[in-house]
Amino acid sequence: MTWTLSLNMQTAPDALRAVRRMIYAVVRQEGLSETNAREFELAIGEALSNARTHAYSNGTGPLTVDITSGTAAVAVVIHDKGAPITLPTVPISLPSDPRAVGLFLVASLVDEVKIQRNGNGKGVSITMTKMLPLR
Amino acid sequence: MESARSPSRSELTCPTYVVDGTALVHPQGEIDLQTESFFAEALRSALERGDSVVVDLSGTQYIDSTGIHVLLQSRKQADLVKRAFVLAAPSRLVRKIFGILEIGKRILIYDTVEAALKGVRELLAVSRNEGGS
Repeated sequence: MTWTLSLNMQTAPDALRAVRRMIYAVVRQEGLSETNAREFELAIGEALSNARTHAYSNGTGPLTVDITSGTAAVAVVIHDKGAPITLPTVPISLPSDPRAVGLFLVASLVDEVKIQRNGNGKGVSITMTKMLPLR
Repeated sequence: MESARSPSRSELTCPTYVVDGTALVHPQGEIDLQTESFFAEALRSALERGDSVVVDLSGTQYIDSTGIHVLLQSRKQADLVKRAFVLAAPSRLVRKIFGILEIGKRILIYDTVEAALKGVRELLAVSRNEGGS
């Protein structure tokens, strides 16, 4: 059975930490190993920090996080509502620009990552997918 | 021993010991946006207290790119003040992150604290010999 959990939050560091920890608990429940769950948590933490740093000039703003669990994978989508920016590309090798390191880490720790502009033209969404073990 | 904060699940503690002149920092907890400035301050203080610094990562369950940035900046600072700065005993996850970000090319990483303490003494001996020649 596929289900989705949606969270509306602000980019407060406390809230970011709470959300990544919650996602760790979700993927453990859905069957990911401790190691894979910790890696996914770190990827989520990086993406949340990126949203805080890059989407909002003062570091504060709203985020929506959708967690979808299906039979084969868990997907987490983080939507920000920041000002329009140049859509970042996912680095395929270690970037020299320190601002891109977090995104490289995300790409290295998940099975699939996708970044797109939100449909309403405001903000960016990042989708991170981790495959679940066969059940 | 000096502990800047009492232990708490949601925070980071960084007790620092001085062992034979080396400041041994033992961050326990998670290093992220919320704790990186505290971590940076602990490392700055360690650079003032020891002739070398070993960061024992055995109690670090989580370190993100902000924490890694602090380590790299501290390494640069250590170079400026001519101190050895090395890492020890990272967990499997932390070791993987270091591998992805090629941290081992910029900071020496030892498997154990004992090996790191021995390593910094050797580094300092080499540096003193070079300085004296």
